[in-house]
Amino acid sequence: MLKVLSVIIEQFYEKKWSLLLFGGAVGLMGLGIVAMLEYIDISAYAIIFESMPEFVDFFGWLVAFTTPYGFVGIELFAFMWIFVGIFLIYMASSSALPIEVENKTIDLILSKPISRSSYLVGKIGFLYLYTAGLIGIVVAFIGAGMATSPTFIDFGLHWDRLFIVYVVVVLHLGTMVMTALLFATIFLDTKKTMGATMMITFLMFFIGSFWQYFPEAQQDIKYVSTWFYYNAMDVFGSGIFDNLLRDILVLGGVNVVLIVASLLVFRRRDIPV
Amino acid sequence: MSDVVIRCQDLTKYYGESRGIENLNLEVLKGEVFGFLGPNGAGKTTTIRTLLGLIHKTSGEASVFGLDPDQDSLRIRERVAYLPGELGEFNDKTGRRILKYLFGLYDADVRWTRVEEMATALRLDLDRKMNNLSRGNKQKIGVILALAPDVELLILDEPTSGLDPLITQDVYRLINEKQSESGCTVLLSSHMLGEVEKVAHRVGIIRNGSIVEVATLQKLKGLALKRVELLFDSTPDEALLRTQIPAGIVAEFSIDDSRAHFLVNRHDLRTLLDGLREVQFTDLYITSPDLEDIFLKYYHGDSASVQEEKKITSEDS
Repeated sequence: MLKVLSVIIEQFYEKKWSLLLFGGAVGLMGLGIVAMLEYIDISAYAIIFESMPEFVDFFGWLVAFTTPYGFVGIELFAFMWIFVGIFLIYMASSSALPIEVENKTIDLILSKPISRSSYLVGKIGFLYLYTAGLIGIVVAFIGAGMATSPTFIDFGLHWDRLFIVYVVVVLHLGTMVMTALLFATIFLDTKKTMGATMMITFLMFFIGSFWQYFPEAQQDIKYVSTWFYYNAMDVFGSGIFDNLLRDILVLGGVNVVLIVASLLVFRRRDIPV
Repeated sequence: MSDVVIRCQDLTKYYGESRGIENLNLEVLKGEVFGFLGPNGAGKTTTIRTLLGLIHKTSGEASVFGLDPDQDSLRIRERVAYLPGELGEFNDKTGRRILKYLFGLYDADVRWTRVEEMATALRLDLDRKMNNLSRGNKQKIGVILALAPDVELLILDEPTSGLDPLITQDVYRLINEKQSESGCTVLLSSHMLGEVEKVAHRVGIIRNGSIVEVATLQKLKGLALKRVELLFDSTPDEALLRTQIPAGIVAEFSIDDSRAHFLVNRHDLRTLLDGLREVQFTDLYITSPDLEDIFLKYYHGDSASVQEEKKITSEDS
């Protein structure tokens, strides 16, 4: 356990500035989005949408713009995989293992009495803590913005929504990061890992977001996409928690499967020179 | 308990189609410094990485402390310190930070006073960042990583690579001290024969992925090979000399001003002397060759002559 902790601490030592700077930057962006609410009249959106029922039928989710939670949910949480996810994929693609191979430090590290599983668990622990920490910083900024925003105060401060969306975002980003980890153990190469993970990520996004437009017989493919279970808008924007348990279990399960697969691959593979 | 610390039997490792090592047979005994000699690409690092469980063998058997590296790699590494040929890039971390991190992965504490002593002996500033260190200074960090922990087996892959002669001397002194203090076994891989000669008890020569000779230094030097040096009044006619010396029994023939020197098998000395009756030399020296000569013989000779030599060696022993 101490060895796993050593690996986690060492990783944080290397990445501490990126965590603080990037987390702070996205957090400030979130704070800016919350602050925008003081300068726009979101109730006007409701009037516009009421006048265009056919438009709302097609883009129903836009109705969420009419509440402060919906506005922040659409502007920030719905696109968190772009704002943060791609950065995390890049970070995980290198730091998960390939960087040690490319820097030729892997032999020295794995010649020490630490099992490959423990070493990888250390990396996994770091990636989750990093993701949770980064989103934690973003959510802290948003929480601070909500607490000081008259619009949010008037609407009501629903901290439960903020906490739950935090969990869902971390789990969803976790699936992206663990996909990168799995490819990292397979390829041990930053570029290949990044390329394969991005391909899978966009495929998942495409399936999970546009399954309604597929032929009806093929629509069940939506269940394989992690985006189908990423309902940040429901929990934060609308306060709907109907599918929350299912979503958390599925996203958590995908994380576990990816971790187990990574451990199995890494335990047996040759470490390249 | 067996006195054999490392044992390889027909150990083979292929990287896809290309050969890493093939039918390698090797035994390293407890408490000895074993020199593992061969040029780049001969298979030294592949052997070491297989023993550490970093790569998995294709066939054959390998054991360290009687344990299988594929199954019990962790238990092996608890008792081993390893210095790779290239330490790698740790970027903006200081030597002190790297040492603390990597020593933290051992179960037993590594004495920090010993680390400081070694750093002083090697004239190394532990608080400088790795990307500001020369290759030699980086290698010193590796030497400390290998020599500071209390382990039973040291595996050193080109430990003095990139070091200047003075520091090289210090490193070998530290290896000697460590070995005599702790009685640990040392597997020392190198292509720098003169250095291995100073510390190794036995030497194994690897060629094209297989061990071609294992012997004590004394035995290796006293093998059938002899270095013959002929002195002349003036530069001899090489073409004539070559016709006078019986063909096929000499190796590494060269002429340097008024000297001709070559290697010859002890068993061919009589034939050589018969042939030299017609040669007008002024002096003749027959000595045991240094390790460098023996090594070159193994690498420049064709495989048939090497096999022949092995046969003779085994008959001798």
